[in-house]
Amino acid sequence: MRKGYERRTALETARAVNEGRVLPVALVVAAEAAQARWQAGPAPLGAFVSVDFGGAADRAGKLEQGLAEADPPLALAGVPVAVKDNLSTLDFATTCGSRLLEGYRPPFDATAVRKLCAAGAVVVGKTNLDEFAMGTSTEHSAFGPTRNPLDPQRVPGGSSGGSAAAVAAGIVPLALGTDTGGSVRQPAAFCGIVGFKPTYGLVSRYGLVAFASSLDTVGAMARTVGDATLLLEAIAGHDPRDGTSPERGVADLTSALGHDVRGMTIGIPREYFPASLHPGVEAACRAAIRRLEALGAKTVEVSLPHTDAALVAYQVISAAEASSNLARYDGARLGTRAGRGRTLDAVYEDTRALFGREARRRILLGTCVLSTGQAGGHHAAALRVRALVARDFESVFGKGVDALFTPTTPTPAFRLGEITDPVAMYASDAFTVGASLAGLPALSLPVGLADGLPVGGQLIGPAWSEPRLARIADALERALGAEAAA
Amino acid sequence: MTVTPQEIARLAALARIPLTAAEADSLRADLDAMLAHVRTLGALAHRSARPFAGPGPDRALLRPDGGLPDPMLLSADALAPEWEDGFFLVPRLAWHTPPHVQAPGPSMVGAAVGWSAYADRTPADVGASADAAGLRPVHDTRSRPPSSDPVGRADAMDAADATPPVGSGASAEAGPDGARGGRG
Repeated sequence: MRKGYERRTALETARAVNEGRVLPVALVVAAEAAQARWQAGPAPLGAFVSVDFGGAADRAGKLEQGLAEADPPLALAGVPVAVKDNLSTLDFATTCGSRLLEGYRPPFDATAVRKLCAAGAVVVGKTNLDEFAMGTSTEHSAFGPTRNPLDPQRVPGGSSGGSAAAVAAGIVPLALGTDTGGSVRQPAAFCGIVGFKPTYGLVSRYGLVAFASSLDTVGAMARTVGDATLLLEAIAGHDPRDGTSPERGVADLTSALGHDVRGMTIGIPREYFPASLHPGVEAACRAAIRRLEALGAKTVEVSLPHTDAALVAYQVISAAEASSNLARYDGARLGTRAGRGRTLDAVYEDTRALFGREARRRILLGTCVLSTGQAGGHHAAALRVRALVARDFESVFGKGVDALFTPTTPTPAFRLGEITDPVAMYASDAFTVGASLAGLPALSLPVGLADGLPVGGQLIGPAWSEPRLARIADALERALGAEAAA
Repeated sequence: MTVTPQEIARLAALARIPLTAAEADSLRADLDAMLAHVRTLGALAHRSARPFAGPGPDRALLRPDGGLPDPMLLSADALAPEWEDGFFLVPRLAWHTPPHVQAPGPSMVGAAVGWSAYADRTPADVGASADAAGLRPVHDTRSRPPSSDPVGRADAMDAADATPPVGSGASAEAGPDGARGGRG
């Protein structure tokens, strides 16, 4: 039976376009129809901040004219994609989910977006996010929350919740997200899709609106490991416009697909399976570990002793960098000018009053830990703990472990409005911030269900080990898929 | 709570975020809960001899609380370091040739004369240039001593930068923007 648009992978779609069996414009029409279905009804999905299917159809039409000359064929030919709304785009406003940037139209495309388009993808819209990517539920957007397509009463995770929802709903097969402390992997886990966060520096941050510059990465979101790998390969590579982008060749990621994992050693960090872990999440992850063993991988228990401290260090470092990065939104240098202030101070304050509650909370925490008045040297301490976290990973990988396997989140998706305590909300990132602090690549893929909701399993590897992670995840995905089909 | 109302007000002022009393109370409680966790870091930090060596410097470069290094918050003295007769001395941005006056050539007309070029000139220099163009500044109160090089480098720079004036609205009576020559 032929698969419909909403279930077809990006690999299959691009092949069909390159072979002339599907027109790119028809794919845009299909994406528009899917988006319309999800927006109809009493609980609209809210995955997008803005869409422009007319403009996308125009771009698809132009692409079609050049397809015949493309040599080699375009990897993402005609594939409709969504882009998180904190990545700069010429064709769409870039709001970061904030009133402060409402209507802001950047004069350039982010490098990741430019590469995506160069590979033949067609951007159809910008996806919702927690304001300035600060959040784990996509409830903190100025433009309203996004719902989880698998259960509209639940959150899709965040901050790339709009991208995750758009992919899980079948509106687009691929989306760009950004991951500072788990914002690609956690929503991928909550929505039952794949989220691939690269090594810090593999994908250019040029054009990504900064939240916490030493942690921010651009990541890939898709329904399959193969598609996420294809997308990451398309956007990876050195960019002289990003000072943290090293000059190294782009690894051939997709050639890592289709192999087995026999002989590989997978570490299972005991700190990622605490007593408080949701039993359904633990059961699904333990089953995935057994599946890896059945595939011929060796599993060993390891320890990452500073896992608990990593979450706190992350909060301090990210808040400090956010308070510094967001200082420029004052209505004079950047941002919508609010109010009718007659002095600079009044202009600044009227404008910055537009920040939502979560953004204010983090800015104040960041200001606190950076201010000379605070006695504990919290920021300096957090940077030292960050070094300890990185050393934990180095120690494990130095002992012959190829990759780590952990749950992506401690629980499945929670209900909209269920968590109001910020500290409890931050705990959703407990298993994702470690790799972020150490700058390591990590991938989340669906490994089962808990209470009928998706569970994500996370693979973490040494720096620049994306091909290895793709290989392990692809093998596990195929095995789990075969198991489900049996 | 360990975070006092005064502390939250100080942080809000530093961050330039206005808070109502209710918002301040609520955020104070949030911050208090977060800082309770943050304080645990201190006990661990001594285990690492160095902070994380990631992108950027090994330690955060911090400035003192308070005054912002905001380029828009300069004093009048910083904006206009030179004064005379109660007026700012400002850089000349352009010489203008009135449209009905035949300019003698590029030697006089500099479309982009910088402050240094102009500031080195004496009234006599200005007059000489104006004479060369058939113009006279009608008013110039500057009182610097004559330069030892009355028609030196400054005019050479004018010549190098010479471009035809565009859309000048100055009249012959006003001279080459001379009525405001040297003052703003």
